[in-house]
Formats: sequence, C-alpha cells, structure tokens
Amino acid sequence: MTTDITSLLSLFKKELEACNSVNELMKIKSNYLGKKGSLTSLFQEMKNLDLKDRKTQGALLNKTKISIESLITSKLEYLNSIDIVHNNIDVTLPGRGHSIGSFHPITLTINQITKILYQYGFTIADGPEIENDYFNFEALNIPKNHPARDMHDTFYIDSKKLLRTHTSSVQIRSMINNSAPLRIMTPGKVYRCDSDPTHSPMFHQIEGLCVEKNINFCHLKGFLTDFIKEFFDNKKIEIRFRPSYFPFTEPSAEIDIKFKNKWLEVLGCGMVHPNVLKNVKIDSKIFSGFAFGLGIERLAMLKYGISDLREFFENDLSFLNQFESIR
Amino acid sequence: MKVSVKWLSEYLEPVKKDKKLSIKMTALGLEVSKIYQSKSDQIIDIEMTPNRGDCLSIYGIARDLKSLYKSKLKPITKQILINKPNVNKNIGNINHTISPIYSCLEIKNINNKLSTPKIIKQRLKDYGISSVNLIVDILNYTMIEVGQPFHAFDLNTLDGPISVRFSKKGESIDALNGIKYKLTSKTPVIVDSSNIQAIAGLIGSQKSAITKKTNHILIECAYFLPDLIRKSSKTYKLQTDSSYRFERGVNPFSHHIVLERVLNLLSKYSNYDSYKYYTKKNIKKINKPRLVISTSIDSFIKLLGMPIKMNTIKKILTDLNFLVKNNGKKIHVQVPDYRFDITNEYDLFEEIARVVGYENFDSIKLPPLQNNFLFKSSTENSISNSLVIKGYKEVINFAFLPKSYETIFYKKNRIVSINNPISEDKSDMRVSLIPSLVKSYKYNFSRQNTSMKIFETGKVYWKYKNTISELQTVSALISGDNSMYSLKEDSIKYNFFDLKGDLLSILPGDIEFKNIKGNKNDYLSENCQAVIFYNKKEIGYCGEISDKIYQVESLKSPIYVFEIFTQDVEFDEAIKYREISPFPKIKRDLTFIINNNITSDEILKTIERLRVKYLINIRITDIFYDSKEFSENEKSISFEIIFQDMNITLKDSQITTQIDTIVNAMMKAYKARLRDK
Repeated sequence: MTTDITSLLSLFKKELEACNSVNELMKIKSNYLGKKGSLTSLFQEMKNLDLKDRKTQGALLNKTKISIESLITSKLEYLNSIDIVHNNIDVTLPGRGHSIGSFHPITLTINQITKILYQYGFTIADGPEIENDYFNFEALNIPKNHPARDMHDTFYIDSKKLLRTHTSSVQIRSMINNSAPLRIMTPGKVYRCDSDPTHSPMFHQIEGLCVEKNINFCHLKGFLTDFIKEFFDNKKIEIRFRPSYFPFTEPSAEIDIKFKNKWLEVLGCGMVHPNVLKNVKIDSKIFSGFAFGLGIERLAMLKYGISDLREFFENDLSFLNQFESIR
Repeated sequence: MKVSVKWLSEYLEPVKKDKKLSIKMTALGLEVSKIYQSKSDQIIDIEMTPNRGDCLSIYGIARDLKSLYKSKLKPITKQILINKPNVNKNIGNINHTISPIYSCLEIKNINNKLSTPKIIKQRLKDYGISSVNLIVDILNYTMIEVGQPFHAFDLNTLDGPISVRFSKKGESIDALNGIKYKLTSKTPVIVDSSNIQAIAGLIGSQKSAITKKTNHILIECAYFLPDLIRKSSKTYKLQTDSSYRFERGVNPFSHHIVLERVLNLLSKYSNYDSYKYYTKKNIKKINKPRLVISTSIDSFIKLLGMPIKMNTIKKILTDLNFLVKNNGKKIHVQVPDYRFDITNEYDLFEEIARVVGYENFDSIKLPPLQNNFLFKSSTENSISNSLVIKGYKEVINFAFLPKSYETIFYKKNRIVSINNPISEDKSDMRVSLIPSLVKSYKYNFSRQNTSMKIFETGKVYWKYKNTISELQTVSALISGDNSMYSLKEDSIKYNFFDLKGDLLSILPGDIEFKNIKGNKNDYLSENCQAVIFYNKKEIGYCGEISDKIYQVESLKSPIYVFEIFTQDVEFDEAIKYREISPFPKIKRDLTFIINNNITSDEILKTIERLRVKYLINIRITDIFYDSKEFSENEKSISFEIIFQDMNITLKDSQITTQIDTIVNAMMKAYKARLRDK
C-alpha cells in the first residue's frame, strides 16, 4: 500500500504540472480528494489493515492529503494570478499599474548644466525673485536713468520692489554674504515685460560667478569653451567670442556657436566690473573674476530641437511625454 | 542701426571692397545681425549695445572701424563755423543744467519748396525715416551721418526768443506726432515767450514745425544731459531718433562742425540769403569732460592674461582718438569727447582687447577647486526625483495669474500684484501652485488626456501687511483613472489614498496627516483635507479640491492635490543603526468594533503610548462598516501586531499578556470591543 500512496502522489504531481486552468484543477481535485477520489478510496481501504499498519499508513495518508491540498491551493493561486495567459506568459503584454513620470525639459537642461559646473567647483546659490532695485540694478553698475535699463523691461511690484530681470542679483547677495574667493552658480526664474515668439515674460537663466586671485580673461575663454563643448557633447563645435556690453562686466563678451551653418548667440560673459566688486566690498586689486549667464530655454530649444518657445509653458502632456526617457 | 555701405565708404574708403567687413564689425563689437540689399546699396544692420552712443552714425562707425584699416578717415567738413560773439535776439535764457552747450543756426530766406534729392530720400528710407520736406530731410540725413540730432523752428511762428528751462506743472504741448502732452513739472523744455515749442531732445511742437512754406528757420543743435532726456522719454513713453541719441551721449564739442555740414547740404540742395551761428555754454555742467585715465601695462596683463607691448597699446588707443602719454610702464590716456562709455582702466582694456580681437586671446584651463562639501541634492530635487519615479510629470507654469482666477482658490488679501503687468491674464503673482496645476489639468483634459499625475516646483509669494515673503514649494495633482495602463482590471479612479500613498513614498519616516476641523484651506474640500506633518513640523496640505473650484471651473472628475513648503522639510539623515534580532517574529491579528468618529491614527497613538513590551510593529489591515453586524455609528477595524524580542523566542503566554493590555486599554479609552470570529 505504501507504494500505492507514493505512486499516487507522483501521478498527482505530473497531472498538476500539466494542468493549465482552474477548471482542470477542480477536476483533478475531485479525482483525488472527492468522495470517489483515489486518495479517498485509499482511506477507505485502511479498514482492511491490521492495527499496526493502520497507524503508520494512516499517518502517511494524512501527510499526503495535506501536501496534495496545499499543492492544489498554491496552484490555484498561481492560475488565478496568470489568468491573462496560461502556462505560456506573453511577456509582451502591458505591465501592471505603471505610469511614467518625466522632468520638464527646462529642469533637465538646468540639471545638466549644474552637473557640469559642479565638477568645476561651482555650488548653487539662491535668492529672491521679488528683488530690490538695488540688488537687481544699482549694485550691478546700472544706475537709475541708465540706457542699459532698456535691455531689461522690468515688472515692478512697487517703487522699490521688482521681479528680478536676471539672476545676477543673487551674485551680489552671494558676494556680500561670502566675499571672495568664491565660485557659484545661480539657476532660476527671471522676468521681463516682453512677449513675442522669441521672448517670454518669464524664463529661466543660470549664471556663474568665479572671483579669485589671478583669474583673467584667458581663463574665462578656456573655461567657457570647455563648458560649451561638454554641454553640447561635441568637441568639434565651432565657438566664437565677440565683444559685447553688460554694465556689470568689463571687458564683456558674447559667445556664439555655429549651428546649422549660422552663428547663434548662446551665452553672455565678461570680467566682473570693478564697480561691482567695489559695491560688494571686494578689493579689485587682489581679486578678479568672471561672470557668465545663459538662457535655459534657448539652450533647451537647441538641444532638443524645440522651435516654439511657448510650448515650454503650455505643459501639453504630448509635449512632456517626449522627455520620459531622461532622468 | 542700419548702415549703408556706400555711405560708410564716403568716410572710410576701403570698406567698399572689403568682403569681410561684416565679420570685422562683429569682431570689433558692432554686432551685425543682418545684411541685405536695398535698391542700390548694401545695408548692414547693427545691433548696437547701449554703451556705444558714439556709433549711432555713419561717421561714428567709420571712426571706430578706422583702427582696422590703414586708410585715413575723411573729415566731416573742410571748414568750420565760427561763433560770432554778437548777441542773437532769437536766443533767450539757457538753463545750462539742462543743456551745458546750446547752439543755433539762423537762416534767412531759405527755399523749402524744392524737392529732396533722390539719394537723400533713398538713404533715409533705407534707415527707416520717411521724407517730410527738404529742410527736415537734410537735418535727419545729417543726424544719421554724424550722430547729432537737430531740431528746426519756423522763426515766423515763434513769439520772441527761445529759452531752455524746466516746465511748470500744468503746461502742455501739441506735439508733432499729433499728441497733446500734459507736462509734469521739471521736464526740460524749449519755450518762446508764450508757448512750449519742444520737449527738449524729444519732440517739437506742431505750431513751430517746418513746412514747405517756411522761409526763416532756427536750427537747434544742443548737448542735453543724457539722464534728463531719458527721464522725459520714460515719463512720456516716447522714444525718438533724437532722444535715443541724447540718452546715449552726443559729442558736446562738435556743433561748429556738424552745423557746417548742414549748411553745406542746404547750399547744395537749396538756397538762402544769410545765416548766423550762435552758441552758449557752461562746460562745467558736463559730467567729467576730457577725462584722463591712468593705468599700466601690468594691470592690463593681470586682467587680460596676455602679454602686450607698449607700442601696440599706444597705436590702438591713438587710432581710436585717445591721447596717450606713457611714463615707463604707466600710461595716461585722455578720452575722446564722444566716448561717454570710457570711465576707468577696465574700459580701456576692453578697447585694446576688441581691437586685438577676442579670437587672439589664449584659452587657459580654469584651475581646479576642491569643493569643501559633498554634492547635496536640494530638498526640491529629492522630492522631484521621487515624484518622477512615482509616475508624475513635471510642468512649469508662469508665476503670474489673473487675480480673478486666483480668488477661486484663496482670499485676495494675500496676493502680490504687479504694477505694470504685461497682460490681464498675467497680473498677479501666485500664492500657491495649485491654481496653475488645475490650469494645466484643464488644458490637457480638453485635449483628451483625462488621467494624469502632474507636479510643479517653484516659489509662491505671500503678502502680509507690507511684507512680501517667498516660499519654495512642491505641489502635485492627480486625477482620472489609476488603472489605465493595466489589462483585466476594473477601472479604478484615483482617490485620496493614492495621493497619500505617494506622499508616504516620497517622505519616508515620521509623517502624519491631521484632519483639519473647520475649513483651514480654501482651495480644499471641507470633507477631504489634511495638514501634513513631517518630523513633527507642519509642511503642507493635501486633499480634494473644493466644491467651488469644481463649480466655477466646470470640472467633473475628482481632483486631489498636495502642496509642500520645502523649507520646512528636513530629511532625517542621522541614521542610528539598531541591531537585528535573530529570534522569530510572532504575528497576531486583532479586530475591534469601535465608534466611527475615532480615527485610526488616534487608536495607533493610544496603543503606542502603552509602550507594549515586545511590540515592534503595528499596522491597520482592514476596515469595514456593516450595520447588520453592529450599529451604524460603529466600524470594524483590524490590526496586525508583530512581537519580537532581542534575546529570547517569545512564548504564547508572554504575548497574551501584552494583547490583554491592548484590549483593556481599547475598552477603557473607546469602549471598543473585540469582534468575535
């Protein structure tokens, strides 16, 4: 009888293995454990055994019954869990309950830039967006009634407070708080009262500032050339430095890159103006430095081939979904 | 500034044949934005930076370019006018704090009926000025050519001599552009005995304007202080070719040359009987005239990082009309009259650098800097990263919204308004990011995207009395179908617990949600809102949006939002490791029937306070309401409780004692009873 029990269990296991559906499983269950089931009939045969054998065989039968029951239960759970398919899972069907998040391309661009700058020792500094006229203009060598203010159409909150027109105000605050030497970067929102296909009343900037001993114009050139090559991941990119004007740098420069056979302006920079250093009580005889600033939207447009500035702030999911793969 | 190449070559001959002209201009700092062909000429459009008032003319540009060519610059005129110190009855008092130098040219019996020659008409057109009449056209032409704005008065219409003074309140002018300007006090004006005849440097009056019939004129050629003209331009929201130049600085010392040029052209294209030139001045009122700057070669090398010879410096600066004297390595430089932008040695360095060419400077690697601290992601970045992993999409909205929209979400007294908004729909700063998220939701909902999880990070602005505060926040919105990406599952709509689950994932550790009694947050529903506490600090709110928002914005599908103020979020980074017990965990389930009003959080806290021995974890596993089995204001709540000890395997009896403690406490505190199974 012991052999009967053993072979019955192994037969059961084979059938179970081959079973593909809950219906089949229920049939197997009744074949073994039902009133006329093969295991049930073995229990019935027990009465023919002597007392000693009845005890050992009874224990063995009980153990077998428990294991058959538990195998059926787990098989049932398994079959329920895969009821989309049978034993051949179609791995190409959709996964369950997933939704894919994404960063906005502006954030992606800021993150990429801050990562590069961090390697050069720049750390992030932050400052208010509703700023005093002093930090946004005067400390940056742009007095009242200066034509350079035309470069910044400004939103005013009241006679003294305005929405910062550039993140340079953060540079001033950082230099006052930390003095020199320092290397900082200032990503953030800036505001100008200007709206057309190429200008948005709110946009994003990142500026960098390095004020140390013995920093000169050649460092500015070398560093920003490296930066642009890294950002565009292109060592052969054509770069042009040309003279420009910013009230807070002297000499000032603008950097163009060759893009589709045309020069495109990507970055403004220059050596920090001595008046600015004076305003933040840094001795320009000891320290010198450079500053640079760039528009995030413009770089993101170049990088991803986005042609319409307005798309950044419409937040159409069809637009945002395209950035799912970048983390 | 649009530049005709032929006109330019009249002053600097070699530019005509130079194919690299535009590249050279850009390299010198005169950025060429466009080159195109007009009727008979090539036009170069230059994006002029605001410091280069001296280059707002053909002659000025030729003068700047001269340093790049070996050729000489042709002078504006061969002769100059000589100031005759006879009193001119046409000129009254000149306030020199407005105009340190004020010159006039009176011309009698001039013929203004002749038509303007083609070349002048064409060049004015190419520049963007339309033809008016011969005299006006010649004055505009000369302005473009030499950079000095002029204004002509019809002397027959003037009442007595003209004076320069500040306006008085209540005065007004009918200007040439057809607009009547009511003047504020202290606007610089040109007046005759009875009327305002011009806002100085900005615009003239209609009454004294030059017409075809005019035959007796007074041409004003002045130096006005730049700040004053700019102020007028801003006050009256008017910028003219004239004010644009005065603001940026016009050469104060060339009136006798430029008026001679006007006279040349008038003689050539018209005829007149006689003229009188007259000038009044007080040079002391000019800010730093003929400034001398001292510097040294060493300072140049230190800032620019490039070795240079004294001769090179001298040649470059001399070509740019600076007067240079050197004394060993020291250099003393007198700035030309027209270079208002040069005020210190750095400005001189830029002059030298741009002529040398930025391209000719070396690129040197920035010396490395050892960062003193490890890169630490900001709180916003950490939260954003978690949200993206949880399937949220980041949006970025404008920081301004219309007040009428914001007030659907909260009271208007906290809103910071913009004084000069760009449009009505961008008039007020955001008090919260939630209105923006709802806007993004609506935008996408109307484009058949009905399910979404979106978030935004950014600053919000609060006004309280007279102070404005800015707070960094992260906010999110979920709505729609949770199971849209799965097969074989019934549609499950996002609800509050999906949002809460995500918050638990992004803010691991000690996080609590408290119901708010009474509506604390206007934009959240009375029935579904909570304050979020993290490490015992209040950090934000979450819940369903209010009925008012659903109604006003015609939203139907349930929307859940959270708002977190990140400055109060501190991640617990000081982990203290505890040893792990090698002994088995023992699990017990308890189910109570308890009053409906008691929150699960209260129950957990009550049990926590008991400090039950061996208890290492407790969690809610089930909750249900069944009025057949127990009363309507009761619920059934089940807990799974885990016991474990560091040193022994726990026995049943030890655990039973602890379970009894819990059951007794629950009975005592809430009249809760164990549910029979």
